[in-house]
Amino acid sequence: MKRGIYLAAAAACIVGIAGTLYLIFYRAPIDRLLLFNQKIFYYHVANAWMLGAAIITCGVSSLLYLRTRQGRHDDLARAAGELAVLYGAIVLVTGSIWGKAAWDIWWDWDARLTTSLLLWMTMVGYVLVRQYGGPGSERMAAGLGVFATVNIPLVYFSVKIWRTLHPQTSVVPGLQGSMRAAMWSSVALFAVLYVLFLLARMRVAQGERRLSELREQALDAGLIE
Amino acid sequence: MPNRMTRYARLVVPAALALALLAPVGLAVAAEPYRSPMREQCEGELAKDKGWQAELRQSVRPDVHQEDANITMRNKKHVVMAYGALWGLSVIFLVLMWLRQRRLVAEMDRLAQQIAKAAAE
Repeated sequence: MKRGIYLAAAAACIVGIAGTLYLIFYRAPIDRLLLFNQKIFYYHVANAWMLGAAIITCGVSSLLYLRTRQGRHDDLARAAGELAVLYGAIVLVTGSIWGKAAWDIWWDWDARLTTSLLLWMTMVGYVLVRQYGGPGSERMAAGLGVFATVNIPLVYFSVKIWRTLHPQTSVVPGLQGSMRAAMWSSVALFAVLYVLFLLARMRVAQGERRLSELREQALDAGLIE
Repeated sequence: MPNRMTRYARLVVPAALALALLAPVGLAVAAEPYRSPMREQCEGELAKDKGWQAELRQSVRPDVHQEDANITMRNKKHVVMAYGALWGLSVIFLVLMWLRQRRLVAEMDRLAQQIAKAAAE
């Protein structure tokens, strides 16, 4: 049953990819200022929102893990933390390419770009602590996850607080017609993909936890060395 | 000698002042692009002569087309790079996750075999 749901969601994603590409490249008009480059915007913004969703998921589950010490919260936090690294990398790379196209520079130490990089580096730190921190590292990593979540408002409002090259937060609400449809369908597609990736990664994390528990039990029973 | 210097100063100082005052005006005049006085007359003639219009349009078409093509190709390159990076990173993540799951299954099988062997002994 579960497998069927996963397959149906994966099939919906393939249709969604084709649909969003059609809306972006054939229906949405060319932007008068940024021309064809603006097509990067739809997936870039959708992935930036998924980055936020992944970090919030990681932060909330980390907080729940610190309070309850239940493994399932830790598994969810770990899965979301790794996805945050993935989405952060996507956002930074696509943003950099768009920056080259629009401003003719790959990178600028602009407030939005710098705060996003710091947020991504925090999540890379989270994953590294989880991977190489040894016993007890899950609590330290949980603290990092909560810290990253607290930083999200700083990244979001950075374009309002400081003067930046990056477009303002009012761009998405100001979209009209087919541009709006392309934007929201991209967000829906990446939200479904995010949930699928999260569930798949969580299953692996649960398996790793189960294996570790079994190994400890077998060691205690003297069945293995 | 001092008299000669004073005479020079009397000439040089007002000349320098005049130059300093007139320089911005001169720069402004120089910065303004040339505008032909014959423009209106030509535009009037061009509006009447359809053949001339077609010839002019034909003569600028390759240059305009080339400029547009360059912009489109440059933009297209960036869009392809961004979309390629996005899906490439996603595929790398999926492959790494799949490899991790395979390793996990192999570890579980190994542990089950060890336990079964120990139980048999």
